[in-house]
Amino acid sequence: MNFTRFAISLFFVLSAFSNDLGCTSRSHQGTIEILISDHRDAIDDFSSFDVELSSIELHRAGEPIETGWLELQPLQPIVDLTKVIGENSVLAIRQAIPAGSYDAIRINASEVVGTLLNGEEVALESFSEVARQEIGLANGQTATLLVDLKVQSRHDHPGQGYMLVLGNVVRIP
Amino acid sequence: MTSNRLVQALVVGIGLGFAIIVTLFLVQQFQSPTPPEQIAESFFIETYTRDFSSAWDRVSEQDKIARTKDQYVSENPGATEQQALLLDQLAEWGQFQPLAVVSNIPQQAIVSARIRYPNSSHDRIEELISAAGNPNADGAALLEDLSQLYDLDLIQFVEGDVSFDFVLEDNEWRLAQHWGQGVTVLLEAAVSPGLPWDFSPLQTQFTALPGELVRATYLARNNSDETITAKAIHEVGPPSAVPYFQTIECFCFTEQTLEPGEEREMTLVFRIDFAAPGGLESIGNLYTFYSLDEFPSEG
Repeated sequence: MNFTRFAISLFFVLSAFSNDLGCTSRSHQGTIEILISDHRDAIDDFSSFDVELSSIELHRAGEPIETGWLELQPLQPIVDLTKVIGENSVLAIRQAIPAGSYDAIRINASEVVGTLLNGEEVALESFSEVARQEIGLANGQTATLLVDLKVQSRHDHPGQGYMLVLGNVVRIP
Repeated sequence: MTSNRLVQALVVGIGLGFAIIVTLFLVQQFQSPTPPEQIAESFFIETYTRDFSSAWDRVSEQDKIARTKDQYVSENPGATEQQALLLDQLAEWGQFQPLAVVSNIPQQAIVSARIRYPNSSHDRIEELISAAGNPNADGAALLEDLSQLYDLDLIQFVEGDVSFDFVLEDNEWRLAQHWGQGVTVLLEAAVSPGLPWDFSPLQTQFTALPGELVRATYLARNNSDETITAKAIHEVGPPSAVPYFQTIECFCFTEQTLEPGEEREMTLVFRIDFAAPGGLESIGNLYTFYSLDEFPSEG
């Protein structure tokens, strides 16, 4: 038996199987787009609400929680949430990244400052929150995520004022 | 001679039998599994039509260990026969379009798909589905009502992209739901002795994956003939779990006013921290409503 011919045949058979599964290699790239929006909550109390995005990260599926993050650089570092209420949104990220599977998104904001309608300024603590979101990104594909950053009033609770929270994250067509 | 032929026939028979077994084994090994995108569509439709028993059959062995079929079905009540008629019809109007199958880890894949399905939680559809839950419901008449809504273009659709995580087991793609990583969240409710309200969660237990957004609903009813405003206090236990329970939306953030006899659903949206330690198995949450007069003072 000719072993070389057998090995070549086996290679083609296996290649056919992997094509069947639609596998993509790590060297391929897709595009990630991230839009920021504010689902109407306490944002109406503010004339402006600036969130300074230091970075947005995606977590590679199957990698350790502490280390498996891919850092993305925001297109515009400051987002005024009063401008992205309801159907409105702002494109925070548009970047080519390795095709593959990701399972979480982290939003990091270094500074969060709102101005109330009466002119009073409210500074919130820096912000870093994670939401689980399965993303399968194929070669040449674009995945668009809509991230809801919510401003909430917790004035009924002693010692708590306004808070910024990471709400729903959805993948949109 | 005869015995020699018998032996020969026996050897040939055993050989053939062995060859058939080996062939069947090889066919099974090299047969392409059902594509994951096809399984994703079936799973999506099964959960949409509330056929949770069939949906459970498609999950991975690891998930089945973490959550038995009985547990899963009791946490996700199925549709009655009449409700299934409506849900099957709604599913037929839906569209499931696979976008990509991505696999950068051997034996694993993520399927992404674009969906456009009737919103079964929308007012008029929900009313029909709820009516179909009545044992004396006329399923054919309700189906007719549903078709009329469709003909009049009154069915609201939801659109979006969804992803499904898969693992290859015994040459079959199965959904990896990661239930083993889930944290059990227990919801309890109470009212202070002086408050004439009923208050309870619609579902008392959830399995939440770290980082996943979970929506829960409580039902409150004012049994008195007076309008009452009350406020809830939230307690989390054990204390070590407190940093990992993130409240996104809560009826407890604001005062709640109920008119005499009024019943209202109240929403709680929460998330378990994505970085919650693996040893965190369960978190208990108690929400207690107090009338404003009785509300515990600060400090």
